[in-house]
Amino acid sequence: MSPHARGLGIRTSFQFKLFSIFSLLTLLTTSLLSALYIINENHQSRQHAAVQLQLQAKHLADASRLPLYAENHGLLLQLAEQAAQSPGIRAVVISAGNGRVLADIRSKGPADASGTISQTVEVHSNQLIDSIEASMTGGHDAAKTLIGTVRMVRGTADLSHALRRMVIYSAGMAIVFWLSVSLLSYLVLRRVTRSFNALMQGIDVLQEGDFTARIVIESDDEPDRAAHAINNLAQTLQIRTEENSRLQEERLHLERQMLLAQKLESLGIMAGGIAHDFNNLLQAILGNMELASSKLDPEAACQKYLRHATNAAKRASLLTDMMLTYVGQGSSVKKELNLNTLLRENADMMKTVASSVTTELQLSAELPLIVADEAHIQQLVMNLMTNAAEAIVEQPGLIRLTTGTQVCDRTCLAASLLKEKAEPGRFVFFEISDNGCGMSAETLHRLFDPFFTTKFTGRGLGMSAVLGIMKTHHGALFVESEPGRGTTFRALFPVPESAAPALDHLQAPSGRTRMPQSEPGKGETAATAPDTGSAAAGQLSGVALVVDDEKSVLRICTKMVRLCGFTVITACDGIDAVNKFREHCDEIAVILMDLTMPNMDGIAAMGEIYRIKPDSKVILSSGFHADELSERITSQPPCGFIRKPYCISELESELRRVVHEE
Amino acid sequence: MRRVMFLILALATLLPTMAQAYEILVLQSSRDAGYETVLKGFHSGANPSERIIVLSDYAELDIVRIVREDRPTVILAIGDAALATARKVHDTPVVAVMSLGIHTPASQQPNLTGIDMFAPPARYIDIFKSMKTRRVGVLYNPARCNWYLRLARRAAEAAGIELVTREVFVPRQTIAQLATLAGKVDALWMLPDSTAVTRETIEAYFDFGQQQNIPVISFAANYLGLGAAAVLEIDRLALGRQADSMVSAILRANHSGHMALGFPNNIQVKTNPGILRRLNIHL
Repeated sequence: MSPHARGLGIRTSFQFKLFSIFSLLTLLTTSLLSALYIINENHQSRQHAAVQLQLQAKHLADASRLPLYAENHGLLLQLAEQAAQSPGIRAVVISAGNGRVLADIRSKGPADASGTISQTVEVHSNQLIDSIEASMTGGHDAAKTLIGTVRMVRGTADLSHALRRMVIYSAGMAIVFWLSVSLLSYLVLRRVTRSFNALMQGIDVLQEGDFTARIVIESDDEPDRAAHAINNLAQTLQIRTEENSRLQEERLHLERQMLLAQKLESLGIMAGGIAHDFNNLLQAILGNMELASSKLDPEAACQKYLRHATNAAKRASLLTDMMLTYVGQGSSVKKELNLNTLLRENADMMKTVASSVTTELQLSAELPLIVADEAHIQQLVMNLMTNAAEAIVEQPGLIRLTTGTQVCDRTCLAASLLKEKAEPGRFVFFEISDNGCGMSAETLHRLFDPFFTTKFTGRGLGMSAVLGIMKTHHGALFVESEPGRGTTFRALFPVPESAAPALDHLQAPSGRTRMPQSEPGKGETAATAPDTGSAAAGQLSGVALVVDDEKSVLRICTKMVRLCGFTVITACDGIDAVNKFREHCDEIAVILMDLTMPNMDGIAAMGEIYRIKPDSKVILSSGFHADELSERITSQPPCGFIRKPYCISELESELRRVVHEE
Repeated sequence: MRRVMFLILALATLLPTMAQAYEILVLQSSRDAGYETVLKGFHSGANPSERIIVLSDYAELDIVRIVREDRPTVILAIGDAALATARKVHDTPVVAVMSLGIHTPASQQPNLTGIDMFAPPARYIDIFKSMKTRRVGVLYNPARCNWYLRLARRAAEAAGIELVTREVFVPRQTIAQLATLAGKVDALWMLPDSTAVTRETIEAYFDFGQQQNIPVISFAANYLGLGAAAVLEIDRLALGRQADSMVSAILRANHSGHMALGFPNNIQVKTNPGILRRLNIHL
């Protein structure tokens, strides 16, 4: 606080105002009383001097009655001189009754400008003495006879001197008294206003927003009672502020979650739409490729190219699956899984992809099995390992893979990067750590944002997929990273109650997932080429109704169904399908119907067909997963489902299963 | 009927005359206690009818008309004011008492008599003699007290006492004249002389006596308290009785001639024991 502000605060303080009022009143009172005292004393001293002078004059009058009556000048002068010798007497004048001056004595001292006091006394005949007539008659003579006058004049220099001394003394006493009273007032006011000052300081602190501060209460006077009330108010405000902060944080958290949910929902809608369209296209591509291949000599040189194209189309199909997985809409098939095996296979694959990076395995010998989707875990491990390999800028690098078990409580799990915290308990973890460039705080903050990437290539969906997979498996994810010191990810999976320890020799290496050679850094997995040579159409026959709004898909599907042995009736949407089924319901053995169509979708058309013929055999086909389909169907389910893109063998087996009710 | 009417008219005419008829007109100067005492002594005798007029009760009094209408046989004047009023009457005998101016030569008139306020000189001389004083100082106005001084000198010579006299003609001379007596007298004699003794100069007498350490003999008991060693005071009750005797004698003589002034008969000697003791005087 600046000296000016401190001075302003003191001037406006209650204590200073009271002290000023008391001091001023005391000063005024003291000054007034001193002035009155001085005036009174001056008046008294002058009156006393006047009375004394009058007494002297009376005394002189008594003494000079006879000489005055006899007009004895000599004696009168003598008496006047004697009287004039008294201190301060400046003149003595004795006059006869007719005013004639008989004696006039003036002081020879220096002139005094301080003023004079004059007293004149008349000299009468002695009233105690009666005339001879009254004495002889026994009466009393009350008449007075004026014999003359005596006038005495005295100076007031001594009075003025005494007055000055008295003024100095009184002023000194008044100042001492005023200072004493002011000091006492200050001490008393400081004591009295202590609680008030504490109250004001507390209010100032509260005004600055510090609701945790409390006013010290020392007594039960009014300010302290007010301080008590303010303390209560501050406590209430503190609670309210904390609650507001908590609510604000919760609101922000909810907003972020809502934003994320909206983002993921939008992403899911977009991914679902893309996957559906892609799968339709892939269905057309794969179907045509398969038909083309079946028309050619198996030993033909172009079969190799058709096979490569088929494989690429299937990888594209897997990619659409991954897109759905990113947004949590992917299908998952959970089973008991040995993490050690999975990591070992991925480590081998990493050695082939990034030969300059050393992979070190520290796997727990008795690791419990976890229940998880193998493909998802594979994708999770590959994403994290790929990121670790790419983070190693300076070769050679080291990637350490560690597994183990640990028990976590809520405190431990609170640090998980997932919003949905796992339940406390025993977990299997695997840890991937590298000595790469590490991540900054900003990168860590945006680690799971979709489409956020620090690389020139890539889609920025890898860590989003990691987050979605961990959420699907109710696990926990931790990360430690520091720029220049590397990054460590640890993923925890809950151990099932009936989990058995993993035995490496019982777990055969999975042949389904392999790190694609062409895209080692993206974490996607590719499926092996399907067996397309097992389509056996001879055992199936009858009329099949094929429904799809995409003409290319409808066309290829029609051919594939025919290859399976059916006579095909086609429909371009749901209404068309229902109409044609109504016409040929008795001869149609099975209906292969697309799910998403204009005018009337597959589910609605299926309902109509069931109404026409409840025991109809309907196989729905869609680019979406069957899980999503089941959520939408509330009435009679279809007899079968085949996900696009599919090959002839898959179609045949599904048709066979439905038609023959296998 | 005629007789009744005559009787009524006679009574109406004569009764007021009978009601106002008295022999003594008493003129009293004021209602002072001394005058009342004298009047009381005057009434102690078998007085005939009288009318009392207190002059201080009237703003103005026509004594001549009263006397002419009332025709009193004798007038008793008590005090100087009464005497001054009574002097306006010349054909009715006037007896004056309690008056200092009765002996003034200029005011002598044939119908005036009375009793002096002076004690007989022999009585004072006796006191001085008993005090064994040889020289007695006296201040007086010859115009007033020359007659008395003649008597006093004669009595003093007979007793072997010297009167050291000083004449004063105005009161202011008293103090200076007193001063001339310093060391020359053994006692001081105050006379009821209104020139020599005034209210202003009385103190001088007693101051002189105190300074000279001599006794002051005065004429009124009031002065004992001021410093007089002894006084010869007239008994006012006896004075009234003495006046009654003079009035009775006039009435008996039926206004036959002039009566001489007389000294008061009854004189009381009063002393101040303290002063006498201090002056070592035994009376």
